[in-house]
Amino acid sequence: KPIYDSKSPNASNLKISRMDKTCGSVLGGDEIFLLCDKVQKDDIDIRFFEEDKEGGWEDFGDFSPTDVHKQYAIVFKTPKYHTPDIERPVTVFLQLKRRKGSDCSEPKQFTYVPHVQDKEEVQRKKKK
Amino acid sequence: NPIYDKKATTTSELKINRLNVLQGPCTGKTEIYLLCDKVQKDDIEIIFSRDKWEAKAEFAQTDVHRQIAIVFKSPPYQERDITEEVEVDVCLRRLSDHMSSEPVKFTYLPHNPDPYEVNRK
Repeated sequence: KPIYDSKSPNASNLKISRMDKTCGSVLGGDEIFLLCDKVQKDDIDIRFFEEDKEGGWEDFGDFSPTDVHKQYAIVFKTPKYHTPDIERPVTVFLQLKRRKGSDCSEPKQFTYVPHVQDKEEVQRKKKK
Repeated sequence: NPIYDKKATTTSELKINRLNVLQGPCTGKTEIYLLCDKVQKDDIEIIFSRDKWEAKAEFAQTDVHRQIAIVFKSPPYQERDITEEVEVDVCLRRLSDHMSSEPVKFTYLPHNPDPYEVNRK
């Protein structure tokens, strides 16, 4: 088992503490506030992924270094899901991942919800 | 102008950088993520105010994340039967010296709004 220097941001101590949302549109673009342990603003990705027999899927949260707040929070936009016309919610994972090296945080779940066209339906869902 | 020691969280200038939610029902309890400059978790409060009214947001010390973020619940507005949106100020305030941050705006929405929002179109 490797020993990590907990003071160094380069050690593998990536951790997602809290997110303000754990679901969003299948079309992506939802803004999420993520609170985390120390990260380097120019060496961090938010990786969305799904693992299955066919090699799986991955995409990344959209943010700039200025969206990384004091090394302990990131405001980002969700990527779109690979299949835009899902009929039921789909749960995938996301994790923090360093660009240099392969260090990752424990994954958290994120649920993509189908895109609803009908306007009244959208309003009804907003009310819930 | 006061002179701030930027390194010491007991005297540093308080600043709200960002809120994830800018509106919520006048009944309160909206969960809000606030990103800020460094604060002391045991020496900070979040104040909602308008004219003479003020109320404290609800959070525990464990909701203060690494001194730079606070997850809290909005307090209820003074009136629960507003029919129009009401804009209030939100600021950080240090308990020890009563210093406050610059305010950011938050909008309280009527509790029983037109569910289809036809009146707002």
